Amino acid sequence: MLSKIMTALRGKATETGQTVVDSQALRILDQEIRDSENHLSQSKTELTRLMGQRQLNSNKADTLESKIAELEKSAEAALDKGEEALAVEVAERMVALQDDLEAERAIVSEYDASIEKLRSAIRGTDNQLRQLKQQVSVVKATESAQKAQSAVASRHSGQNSAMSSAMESLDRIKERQQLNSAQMQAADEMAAEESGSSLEARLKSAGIGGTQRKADDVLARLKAKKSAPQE
Amino acid sequence: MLNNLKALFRATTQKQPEQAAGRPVAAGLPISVSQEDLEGLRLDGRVNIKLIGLRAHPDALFRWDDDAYHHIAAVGHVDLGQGAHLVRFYLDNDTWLQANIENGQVLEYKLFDFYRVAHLSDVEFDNLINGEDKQPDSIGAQTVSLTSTTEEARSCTYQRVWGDGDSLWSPPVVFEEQVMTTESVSARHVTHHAMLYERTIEGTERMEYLLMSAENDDEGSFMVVHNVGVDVASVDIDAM
Repeated sequence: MLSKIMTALRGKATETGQTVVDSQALRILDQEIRDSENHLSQSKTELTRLMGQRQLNSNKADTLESKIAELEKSAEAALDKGEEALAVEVAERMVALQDDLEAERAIVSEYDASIEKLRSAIRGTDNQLRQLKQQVSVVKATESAQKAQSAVASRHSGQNSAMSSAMESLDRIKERQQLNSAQMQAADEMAAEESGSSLEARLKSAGIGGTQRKADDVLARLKAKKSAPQE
Repeated sequence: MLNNLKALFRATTQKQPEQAAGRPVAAGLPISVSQEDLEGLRLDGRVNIKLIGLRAHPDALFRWDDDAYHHIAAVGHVDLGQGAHLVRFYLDNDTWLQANIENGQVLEYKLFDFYRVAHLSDVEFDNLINGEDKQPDSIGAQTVSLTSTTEEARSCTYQRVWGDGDSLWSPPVVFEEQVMTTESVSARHVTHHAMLYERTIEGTERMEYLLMSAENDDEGSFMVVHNVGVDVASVDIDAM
């Protein structure tokens, strides 16, 4: 029982921690980016140090090479003079320098390998960091956009009831106006009947005294005029 | 998650700057130069300079026949300005090794021998550096001939390196040297009026140098020194 309570408490603590981490996710990401940038900068400094050291060893190898070439001439000169013992001594020095040269070349090769490895690691980290920055930038922009959306949405949902009630009252006004209009029309009709204009309308519809009749009269007159003999 | 929380806490804290790693600095050297930059050469140290190849070329006046370690009894420093320095290591066999340094980097080493030293009176010294009558082979002349000090009677001619190459005479270069020794805590001050000459050692691509210097140690001692020297590769220097 006790262990279950402890587990529950641990679970709660984890949830709380997770909540803190989630709420600070962007801040943490920013700090992690800064940390990575610092490490990257240190790696770049280390790379330049390695390159400088490699150059020193490479210069030393060049010096050794030219020194060996110089000693070779000296050995030849000693042989030309018949000083074989000196030539042997010079040759021994050449051998010693040759060993040094091989050691220097090996060191230079090791530096080259380390430099290439570090360069590749820096390139990789550079890319990752760039992508991370882009993603953080997208996340920040999205969050900002969502905040704006949520603000609009909350404002809209708050006014919903007011807007629907306004629409309803508009409908009610329209309905009332239609009713008023019908009443006014009925009143007009009643007034017209009382003044006789209703009778005239009835004659007119029966073809008496209306516009149609007048047209027929004009047409008949024109036809008669046309059929009459010319003087 | 713990890592994330740590990152969150780090976001509010400042990182302390790292301490720069120190390098061993020896007495008498310029501030920007350590003994590491100078193959380990230092005051009171020892050095073995391997110049065996030179023995095969008898044309050279400069001789270096031993293969021993020599004690560095004094170190001289000349500040040439603009990050350029000369550092001289004076050895117990009357030779000295000079490092030519620019911006903390050793450009070259030369090993000189006090080939010929002549002490001068105040007047003679004044005439040498200020006199209008320029004697042949004097400091600043276009060429200088130097007679061998060995039994073999011969002389070598050196061409002036500093100054206008076409001019028959060029004024010596004046510089101040601070010399520290193992015997004294304070530096000795020497004024040099110097001119560098060179010639090719026959049968080689090596140069031999003649550094003529009229020196005033500010303690009443005046001398003119013919220093004969050669280039030394860093790989030929074994210092401890």
